[in-house]
Amino acid sequence: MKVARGRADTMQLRLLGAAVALILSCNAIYGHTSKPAIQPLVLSVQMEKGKLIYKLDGKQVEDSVQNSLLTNLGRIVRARGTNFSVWIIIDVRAPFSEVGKLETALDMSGLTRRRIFVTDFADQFMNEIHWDERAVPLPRVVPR
Amino acid sequence: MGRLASAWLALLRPGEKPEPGDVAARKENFVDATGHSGIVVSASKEGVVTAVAAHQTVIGRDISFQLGTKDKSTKNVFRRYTGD
Repeated sequence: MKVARGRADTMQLRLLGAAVALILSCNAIYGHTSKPAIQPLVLSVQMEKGKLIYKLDGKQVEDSVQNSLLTNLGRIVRARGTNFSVWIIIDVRAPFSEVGKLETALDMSGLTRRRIFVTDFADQFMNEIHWDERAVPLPRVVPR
Repeated sequence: MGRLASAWLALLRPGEKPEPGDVAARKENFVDATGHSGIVVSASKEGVVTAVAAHQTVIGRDISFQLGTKDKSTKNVFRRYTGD
């Protein structure tokens, strides 16, 4: 009788172990895959009727002091922290100095993870710009 | 204005490099800011400049003030206090 009860206890322990292992493996699989990816913040500047229109995730900014780009970036950083990527999307017709301006805004906001794209906003595609870390001298043929 | 200008000297003459204590700045045209600035706290032999600057939520390390306009279309300017 004691032997039979011992076997039953052992079987219960094995079943319990198997159940725990199954729960842990399911959690590892589904817990990992269902974790939402952190969406990049999209900062765009588009030329419209000769004016530069700045947008943060589609919302127009930098059109007034109260709605400035820096103020909005600060609000986002306070809410989300800085551990996310920012995509800078620049209109091909915008002055090239806009790259510096938008990067400075991100520097001032502590947002260091960024990618820069250029587009004409017409065909729904964009191209990424990659920078070298070091500047190189101008070729001699370029007027100074 | 004349007193301030005489006490500060533009640094980047040929051969000169930023050093701790220099002021780093660049001009931008935000609707509510004239640009970005900081104080240089280190400059490595390789030329990497580290500054401390005010950001939206913190005052801290800033590596955006590099020589050679690393990836900026606007130039960083460095100035050094030289006394009266």
